[in-house]
Amino acid sequence: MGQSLQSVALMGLGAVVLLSGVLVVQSRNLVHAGYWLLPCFLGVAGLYGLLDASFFFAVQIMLYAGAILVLILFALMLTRDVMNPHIPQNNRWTIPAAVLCLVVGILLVYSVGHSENPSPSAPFHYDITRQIGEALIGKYVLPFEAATLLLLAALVGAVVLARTDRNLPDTAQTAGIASDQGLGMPSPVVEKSSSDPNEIRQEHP
Amino acid sequence: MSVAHSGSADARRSGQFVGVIFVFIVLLVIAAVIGHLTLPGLAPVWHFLGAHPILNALVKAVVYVSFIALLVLFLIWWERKFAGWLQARLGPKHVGPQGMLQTLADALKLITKEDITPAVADRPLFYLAPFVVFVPTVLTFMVLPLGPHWIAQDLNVALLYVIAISSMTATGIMAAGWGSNNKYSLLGGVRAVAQLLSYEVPMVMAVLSVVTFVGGLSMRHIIDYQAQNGWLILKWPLIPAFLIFLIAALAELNRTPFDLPEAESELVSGFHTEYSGMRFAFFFLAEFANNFFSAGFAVALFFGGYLGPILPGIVWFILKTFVLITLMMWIRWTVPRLRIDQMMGLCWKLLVPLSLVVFILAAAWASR
Repeated sequence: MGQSLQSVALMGLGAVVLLSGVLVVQSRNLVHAGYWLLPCFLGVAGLYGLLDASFFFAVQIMLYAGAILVLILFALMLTRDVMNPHIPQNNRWTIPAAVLCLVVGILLVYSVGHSENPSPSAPFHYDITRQIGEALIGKYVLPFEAATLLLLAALVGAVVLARTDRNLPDTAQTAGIASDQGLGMPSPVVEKSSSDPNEIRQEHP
Repeated sequence: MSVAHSGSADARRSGQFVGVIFVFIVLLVIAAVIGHLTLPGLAPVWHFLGAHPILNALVKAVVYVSFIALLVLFLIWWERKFAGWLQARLGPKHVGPQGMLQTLADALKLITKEDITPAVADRPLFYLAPFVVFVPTVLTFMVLPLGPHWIAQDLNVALLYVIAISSMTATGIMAAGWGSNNKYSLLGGVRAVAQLLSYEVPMVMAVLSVVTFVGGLSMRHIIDYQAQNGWLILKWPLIPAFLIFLIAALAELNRTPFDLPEAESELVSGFHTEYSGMRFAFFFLAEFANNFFSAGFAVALFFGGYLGPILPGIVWFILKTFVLITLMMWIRWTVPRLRIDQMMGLCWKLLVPLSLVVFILAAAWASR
């Protein structure tokens, strides 16, 4: 009973992931394509849940459905042509890409099916979250810190890029104020003339 | 004349106050009786449901959605009543005892109202947005420990789960703002998402400070810890953590000092400007249910959850949660709205550094 229920859930989630993945690529409306990512991400989270990998379940939802999807949607909503039926959906790389995908898919299925150590059929029953935490703080602390440094550098880089964007002639006055704020100084009470979408884009580069 | 008038109004208000408290106590007693009598009697039912996972999930879902609907009916009435007292008026009074059925009448009105869709709306997104906002709210209730046996699913990563699921609301709000195809809606939606994402950072740090004390992410773990060592709010590094959590929760709920996403004087009413009828009701339902959840979450994290003497656990939980909700309402009806740059500045320049300091202090204290 439990086993059959699990396989039904597995197939259902797989179907959701695949179908919404196809719709992401197939939608003519860019914002709709972005929103089709939501069931896709949630389906993957559900697959983690089925494996009792509860930590990855939560992180998948938090990072992908909660943060990355929102950033993608922000970018899509700020693009000029959200829906233009005259842009072709295919280009000359379609056939090579399809062949490549097929080859990679076959290789994946083959290697997973014939691997020495197949993924466990029964879910883990130990506290994986604690183990991950201990590994990140203990054994893998150096790579972990290196990754955080890399991300920090990326963050600073994004802020720098966004700030040069602001030094356009017509916003010269607001740019001065913005640079004061960027340094973490207490800002003077001045009404900013920039509009809100720009404002928010600054906060989330 | 005016003195006599205000005197009688005061008398009426205090009379009303007694009436409302009486109603509240009656509700609590009913909850206590239900909690005490039915739980042992229902043991065979739980046993039966435990053997049928799908049925079990369905029953729990129905129970929780009805619980949330009833709760929101009560909360809206309480908010209007409380706002009335704060502003020296009476609040709803005529429909039912102390105006308690006013919200029910309003809900019926919302259900029967025409559901208007703007001609230029992006229909799929416009139609789905209220549900994308409402469903995560219901899902978060799954891990809320209402009483010793009243927890739908005790996940071992409950805290992470709550933070993850509640961040999904942002996509729904954006869908509402974009789908309405209205500049006020879009601005409101974008503001709401910026606010949600920003205030999540100090909120997560505040929750993490609790985790350093408890050493676990499950709700039962947290309550058990508090049963042995006293409420977590009594540990001094967690007092600022609670304050940060409260401010961040107010911001995530879009309540008044932070109600920029639906600022009436600037944006008509933000991301739900174009919504009417049942779809609007779902936004409203989600907002108040979220309010209860945030207060209940804070109670579970800092105020011992359902722990308390004599009375059954669920009564303690609801009492504590309502005290916290009333505090939030008090703030809402007292403090004026922030400007958008003040809102962002408060988060990134004050709360985030402060929460980092609090987290380090909590970690140092917990690992002594």
